[in-house]
Amino acid sequence: MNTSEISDTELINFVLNGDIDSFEGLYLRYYSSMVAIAYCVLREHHLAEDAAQQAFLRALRNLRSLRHKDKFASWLTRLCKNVAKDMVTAKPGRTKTLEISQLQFPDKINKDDTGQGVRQALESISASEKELVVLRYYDNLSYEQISGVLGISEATIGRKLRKAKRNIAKYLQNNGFWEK
Amino acid sequence: MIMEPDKQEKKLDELISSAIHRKGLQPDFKAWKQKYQSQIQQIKSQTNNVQAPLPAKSNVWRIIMKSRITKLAAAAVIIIAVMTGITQFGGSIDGATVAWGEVVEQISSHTKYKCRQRIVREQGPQIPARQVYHLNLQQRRQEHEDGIIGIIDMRGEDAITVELYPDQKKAVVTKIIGTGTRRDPDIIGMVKRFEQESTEKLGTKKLNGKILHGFRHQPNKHNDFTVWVDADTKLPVEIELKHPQRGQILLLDEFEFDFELDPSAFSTDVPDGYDVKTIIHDHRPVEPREITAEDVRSELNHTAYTIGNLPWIKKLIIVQASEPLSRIGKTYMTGILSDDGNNIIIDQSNMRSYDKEAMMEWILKEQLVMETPSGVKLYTHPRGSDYARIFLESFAKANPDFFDIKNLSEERFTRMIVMPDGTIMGLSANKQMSNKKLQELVESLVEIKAN
Repeated sequence: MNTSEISDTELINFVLNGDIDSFEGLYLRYYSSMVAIAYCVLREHHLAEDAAQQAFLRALRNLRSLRHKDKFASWLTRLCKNVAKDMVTAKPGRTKTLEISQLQFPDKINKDDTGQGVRQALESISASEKELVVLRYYDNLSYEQISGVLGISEATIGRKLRKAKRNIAKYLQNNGFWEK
Repeated sequence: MIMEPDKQEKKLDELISSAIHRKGLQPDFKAWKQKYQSQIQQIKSQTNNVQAPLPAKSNVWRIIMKSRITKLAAAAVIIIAVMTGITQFGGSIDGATVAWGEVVEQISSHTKYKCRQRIVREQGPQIPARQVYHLNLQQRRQEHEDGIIGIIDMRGEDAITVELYPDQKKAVVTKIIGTGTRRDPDIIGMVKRFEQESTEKLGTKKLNGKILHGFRHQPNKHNDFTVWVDADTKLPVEIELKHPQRGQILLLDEFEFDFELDPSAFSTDVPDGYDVKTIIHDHRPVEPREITAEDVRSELNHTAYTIGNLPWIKKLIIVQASEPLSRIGKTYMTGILSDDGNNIIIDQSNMRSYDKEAMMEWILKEQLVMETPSGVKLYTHPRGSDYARIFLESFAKANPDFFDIKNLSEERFTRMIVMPDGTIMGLSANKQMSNKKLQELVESLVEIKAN
């Protein structure tokens, strides 16, 4: 079944009526976004995928309790964040210190490692900006896709993303990672 | 070097992308399904056996469970239901042992089984044992020690239970219409799912010359499963389910897998020569509409109430609608608009004596918040806000002019009303009410009498 043109609400209704395979449409639609969301918390690709997969399972289990089916994506996002946070708190041996903001960087920064600089810059911006940047660049999500997940307009996404990027650029420049 | 703004932007995009971009991220739904196979299977079976969102006043399972023939099953079913909830909402998964995997494999290769079921209670009357024949997830036969035979068939749109009293040549046939296909709670199915739970090995014991291997699964303090399996066949020989909170133990033994029994043993046709009493429970959806107090009286099988004249009541409407909790059966809601703009609903619906007993048992565990001079008791509801929302939504659907759901308030609350004659009703209010108004309201409730 080609589910790309079927709304979340319709897919959810199929699932609730016993057609669990219809969940595939939702899974394919939001998998990348959820991995990116989990990556914001866990900062490890495989753990992020694991968290996203668990979030989908949790969503499937609790689908009946979802009151506003058209808000599935933002509900799933909340579930995914919770799963990722649970992975940090419940399994300390497994994930060590996983919040990006909690990461300890070496005192001496290798100024040539711009990638590290970007990751560090992500910590200098607000949590919502960081989430937006990760969603945008982790798997090249479109504004439309991000809008579905975060429940904000595409115009707002564009504005916030520009601001976040300006802040990242400023951080990189101020810390010698990047010269204009 | 100074770059142009566009180039700067592009360069920044590249930097961010190279720092966090994940290459080759591909969702694989099949792999996900495989990974969570048993959990998804469990959800699937639950989806096919839809549960009401709140403690329902009446539903097909309550009817089946509470009918005399299936009374013995009630405790077992409740425990299984509790267990279902537990596995649905989590629990540690530490992988299956090899031996347990073999047990699951063996159980899975059998489609039908019979066993003896006993419930041992710490207090109260003991329940006679029975033989239960599970033909499939929708057909079951129960033979009680006292000779009563029960047959449950849930294959069709309408579930049917037949109670046969051979010594009296009497039969009670209960047809439950409009509930859709249902599945039988199956304890073997539950046991199979231990594969994904924490299962502890208990060692071995000997029973009737057979070596049995023991496994224990304790998902929480309320449920403690012990399963003894035959070392040769790898099939269950004994299953014990302790439920300390309820002070009872469910014991299953004398298992026989793939039993031979004539298909007629599962027939819901009553044998010739029996006096048949047929009971119909019609749970088809109800078209919401405005009705009169007289209609409520004629529909209810117990005392019907309406609200007396109170100066602060600006508008009063009675509607009938589908019971919004169980989504089956009817409820009769009296909606009140008060002078301070509050919307209050008093709901009442048909209750069989066993429904009432169960409701009272449940209500008495809640907090008594008011007892009026005339003996009307008001109790809290553990999910009062949800309950109130559901009833207000239902009323709004039936009569949008009376209540617009957009005005749903966070102050909403619920009280369970127990009248001096034992009639139980629900009260849902959109906004808080003073104790004075609450008392005036319930004190004004008056029996609807025939003209």
